[in-house]
Amino acid sequence: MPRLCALCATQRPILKRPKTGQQICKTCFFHVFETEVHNTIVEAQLFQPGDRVAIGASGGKDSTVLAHVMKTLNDRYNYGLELFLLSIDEGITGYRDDSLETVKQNQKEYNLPLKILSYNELYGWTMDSIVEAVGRKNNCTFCGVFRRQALDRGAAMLGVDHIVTGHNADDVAETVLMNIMRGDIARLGRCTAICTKGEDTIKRSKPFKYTYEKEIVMYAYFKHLTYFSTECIYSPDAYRGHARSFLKLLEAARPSAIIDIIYSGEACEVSEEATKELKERKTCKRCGYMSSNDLCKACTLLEGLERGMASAGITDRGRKQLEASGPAPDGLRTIPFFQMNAQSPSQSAPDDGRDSAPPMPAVVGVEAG
Amino acid sequence: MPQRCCQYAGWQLPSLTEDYGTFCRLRRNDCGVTAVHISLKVEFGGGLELLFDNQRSHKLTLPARVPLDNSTSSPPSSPPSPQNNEYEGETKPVDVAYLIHWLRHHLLKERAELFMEGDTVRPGILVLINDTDWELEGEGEYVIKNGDEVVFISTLHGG
Repeated sequence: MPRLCALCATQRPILKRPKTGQQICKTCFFHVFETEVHNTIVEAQLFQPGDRVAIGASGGKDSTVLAHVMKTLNDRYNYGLELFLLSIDEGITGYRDDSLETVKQNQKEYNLPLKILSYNELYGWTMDSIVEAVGRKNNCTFCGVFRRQALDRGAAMLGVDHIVTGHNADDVAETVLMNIMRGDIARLGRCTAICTKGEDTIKRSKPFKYTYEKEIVMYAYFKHLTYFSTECIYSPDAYRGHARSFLKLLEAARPSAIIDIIYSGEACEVSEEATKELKERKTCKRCGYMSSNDLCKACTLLEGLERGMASAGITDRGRKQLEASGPAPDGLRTIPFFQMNAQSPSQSAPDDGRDSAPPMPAVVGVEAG
Repeated sequence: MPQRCCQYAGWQLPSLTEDYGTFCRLRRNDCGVTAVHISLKVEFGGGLELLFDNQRSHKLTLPARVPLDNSTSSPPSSPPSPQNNEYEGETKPVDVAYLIHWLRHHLLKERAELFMEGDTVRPGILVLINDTDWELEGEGEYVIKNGDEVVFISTLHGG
């Protein structure tokens, strides 16, 4: 007798769910996949009707599926959201230029407005030129800091108040493990948050927080969604790679490991003392972006690049060298001043002493694909 | 890729191709219409194709019976005699575990560690057999039938 789907008991199963072990058919798979994301969104109250929401789109599997599912759910459940695609072009020849073609295809398929913001446009440097200047050792630091700020700035240009990213359950579990292995207790406490937000910073959330990577890839496969899957050509994050392999081994032995690790992360109550380690946030004197120092990380990195002292933004020693070599020269290339929202009148001056600025959203997790 | 007769265990080039397999003239005369080879389609996705010459789709012909230990090593120097036309060691019907070994030794172009770990695919690679999760089909023990399609997708590549 042929096996039948554990949910509808009429069709042939095509997938074993890692989360539950159930064997389910294609129709039921689409249904539970989409419904679980919907439930996650509803339970966390991620959106309000009328919200303008940007989907951080890289052309990779996670964001391609996220764009599809957000569009589907917004139509099906009348979220009333205005959706946008937001892509960052790091300027990596043969990698990002190709993946952006995938995003442009998504734009046509889903009929969503697309904004592409490039490092070159914002910082005057591409990752190709940064790697040429700094080599392959610390380039990921530049990329990570620059991308985070670029996403916020792109969102501000679109006038959106919320960015959704494709981070999935595997990414979150991996980040929990990494924070434990690094002893980063403050980040451990917040890396499982589905939504990070401050009063005037742009909200970021992860509707796929509980969605297994396996199911995302299977969903893309069965829905025939095309995505781009080349590894970045510049040195991968080795530490995260180890965490990832370890997690995949755990998953192979016990598929619920991923959701269990997320649960453990959520259950960790982090004492106030530990979170105090995080410096209070203020505003960058030069570009107006959130910062814990006078200069934000991106401005420090950019000044280092411009003055030929690339380590300035990476090590304390490099920063001291930069400071010792005198103040920033006139005419130094800087990042355009950050304006939260075209409509919002706040923040017209660089130093309006906003010491009580909300904490910066956790820099936790990869920019998922 | 030269196709091989299976009963002579890759040891002779086939001279006949029929719907039911490819086999050498000796075997053809010997056994008539026994299918000794299995044809199948293999696809790679999610970045895995990069390890396979950047080619997503491959049509393969494999022996119907293969060594129990999944060895796909090169043929012995002298072909077996017609009286002793079976593979010397113990055999089993060709299965996905053998296919994985075969792909690793004959089709993979680079970085084998990104495809295999131990005796199977690296954790994080999804396998579908005729569009069904291989976890529902017995994984490596699934016996390949003529015309099957096996898809390997990496989930490990970000974006």
